[in-house]
Amino acid sequence: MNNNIIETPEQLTRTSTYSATASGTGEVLIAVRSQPAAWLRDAINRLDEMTQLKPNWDSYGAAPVDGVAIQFAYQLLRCLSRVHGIERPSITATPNGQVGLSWDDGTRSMDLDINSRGRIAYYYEGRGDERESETSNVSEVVELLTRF
Amino acid sequence: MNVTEVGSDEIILRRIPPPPENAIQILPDGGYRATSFRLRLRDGELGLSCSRLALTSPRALLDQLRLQGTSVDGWMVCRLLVADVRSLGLEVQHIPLTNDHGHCEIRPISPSTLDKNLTSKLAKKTRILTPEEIESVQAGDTIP
Repeated sequence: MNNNIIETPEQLTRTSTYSATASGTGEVLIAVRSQPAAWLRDAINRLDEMTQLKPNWDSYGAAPVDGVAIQFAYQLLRCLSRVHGIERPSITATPNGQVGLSWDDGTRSMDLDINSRGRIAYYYEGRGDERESETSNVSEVVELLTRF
Repeated sequence: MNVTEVGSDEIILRRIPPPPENAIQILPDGGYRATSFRLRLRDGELGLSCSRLALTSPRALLDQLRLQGTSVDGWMVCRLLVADVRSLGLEVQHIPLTNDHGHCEIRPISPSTLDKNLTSKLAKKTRILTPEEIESVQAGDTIP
């Protein structure tokens, strides 16, 4: 059974208002909003702020954020904002000029970096499960985030 | 005191930039901690720069910003216990700099970089100092 119901942000926006699937060993139910969550506007403003960062913004030699990484982050956030149950992440720059997103509800946490090639490197930890990987498959990220 | 050895009971400090790039996380007790993004290495960087509280006060750490021509407004300082760093298989090496005798680096023993799982776990061991602590804690003091 295909559990990649959201391959790319573009696909997500074409998804109907409600989708459900099962991923083999366990049920993964993903509900897709007809409109993005209210937090998307704030998140986009946050990305815009990041474009103003100068070299060495962290005082330890950090690079300014790559504009292409910001565009990929915008696409990913647009995608995530369409999924029910995914809250607004903390959004920040990384020392390598990538965009970092993080979620932490006290029992689970997920940090992900988006680079200028559109790759998502993530680390998830929660309830005995721990994963570190790199992907361009948004559904892999969505599956973990809907556990929150 | 042999300054090349960093004791496991020592506290080390790292600057955290002002909002919105501070990327801090609230703790159950109402305090704050750093997130992994503030503990990442740049490409080619061997170790994560920090400063030993035994030799560098939080205020002195922030005052170094002025040498870079940066205002200290809004900057924060997070603390880590060296024992917590070592419990993750990382090392702390004292590497004094001209402008910071207490400068040290968190370095992986192996592999060659700090993986995301390590920086994430490290971040959960941090605590952001309060403004009062930044003003009152002196080099050589201990803080919880």
